[in-house]
Amino acid sequence: MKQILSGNEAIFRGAIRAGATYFAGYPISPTSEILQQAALYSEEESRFRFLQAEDEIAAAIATISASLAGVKSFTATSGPGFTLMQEALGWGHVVEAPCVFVNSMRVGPSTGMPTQPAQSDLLQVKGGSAGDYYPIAFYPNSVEESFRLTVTAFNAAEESLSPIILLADAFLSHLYEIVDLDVIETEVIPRTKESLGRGRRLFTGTAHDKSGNVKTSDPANYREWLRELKERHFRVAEKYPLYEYLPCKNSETLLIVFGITSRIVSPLKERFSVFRPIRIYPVLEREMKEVAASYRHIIVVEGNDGQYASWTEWAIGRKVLKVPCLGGGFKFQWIQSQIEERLKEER
Amino acid sequence: MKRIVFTGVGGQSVRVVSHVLAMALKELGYEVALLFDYDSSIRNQKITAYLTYDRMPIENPMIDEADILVRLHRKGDQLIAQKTICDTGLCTDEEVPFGMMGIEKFGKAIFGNMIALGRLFRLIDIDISRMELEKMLPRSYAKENVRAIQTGYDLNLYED
Repeated sequence: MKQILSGNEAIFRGAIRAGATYFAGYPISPTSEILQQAALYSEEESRFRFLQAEDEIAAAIATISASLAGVKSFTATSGPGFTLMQEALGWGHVVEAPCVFVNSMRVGPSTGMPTQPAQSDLLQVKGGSAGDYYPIAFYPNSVEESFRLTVTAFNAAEESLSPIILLADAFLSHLYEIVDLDVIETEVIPRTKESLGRGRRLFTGTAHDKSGNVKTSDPANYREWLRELKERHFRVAEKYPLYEYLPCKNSETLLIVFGITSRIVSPLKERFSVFRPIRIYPVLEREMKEVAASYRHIIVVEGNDGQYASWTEWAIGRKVLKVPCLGGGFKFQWIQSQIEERLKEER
Repeated sequence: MKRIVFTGVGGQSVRVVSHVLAMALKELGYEVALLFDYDSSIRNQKITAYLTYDRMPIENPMIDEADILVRLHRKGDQLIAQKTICDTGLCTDEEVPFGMMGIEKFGKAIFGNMIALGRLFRLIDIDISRMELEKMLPRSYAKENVRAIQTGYDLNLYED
């Protein structure tokens, strides 16, 4: 059945399709509708549990704990809440808890512009918590893709045994489109991690061996643990090399753009080639390098001051032109004028 | 493709009005993208709804220039538009005393927004006679809102 759904609603429905039975969160623009949906659904469906926590720290820990207890769990927040969740995210990686963290980005830092879209939490995604860990993050650009990628995020969580980050932005969260979820086929990977109460389990952020013995001064044990974790995460990330490439004949310029800004610049696909990373992290290094090799100019258009542009430069080994869309209110004509200006400067 | 923008302030039901239009267009088989942009202080602060519809999937849901702008409050966005309809004093294109009509015919200025929606349906050639508008509206005041939409739809009777 066709229906009008928002990005936030599609994310919630995707979580249910993936088999999620637990949500913990704290209200924040622009993801409060996900929390609201979870609250309403918990009244309809007794298997589904909902917690409005006292803050984002508690919500993140409850989400990870529910996962350890054996259920598929998720939370949703925005930039400032995501900042508060960082310590728990690191813990989630150490205790290897499959779950999903949704972060719909708004203009920051701090409270910033709560209802205005941004794409400025990429660095937080990569490494906002302490130490080395290997996050995986996806970023859709439509309501339908929000649904699909939520299921993908839950699957990747089960495979990587870690919290997966699903990014959105204030516009995508509040974008309504017509979708028919009934006809969308999805593969759902069931929970395989043994749940709480079956055998000895240790849930500590402290370094430990496979038997759960704390190992705080054993470099070899730590190195082996991190090697396994890294290998598993990159193997799972490789399984999802998600991107969209729209070549434009005779164009010397490649636009790299993602999330809602990729929709806003869509009229430019007649003039420029477009590369849209969907798996935002780990960076699609090989794919970007291959595609970028055919173009004289690479322009990264993003809702931050060059976060993905710097990753792109690292990935392709060349300087790129930057169009930072700051302060929300993304509009096509303004972005187009900025692109023209960069190209003029370059010539 | 048509691009419609509603702009006003929180409390004027910009969300409801644009959502009803989106549902009506969906019923007619159109693809619709409806994007909300609003200030973090909801009450009495700017809210804008960008609605694009077409027979093809919508690529860019944001609107720089509207085919029709429905301006309900002076705080609303002043976009470039082919045609603007507005409450009295808010534009120089098509001024209609929506708020006053709402008070006179239905007892509250807020019904002026549904009258504006009715006018919009007429302007974009959507025949509402066979639509089940009541089902698309919030339950409270649904019947009054349907009548308000009809009032706006019939406004062309007063044109030259």
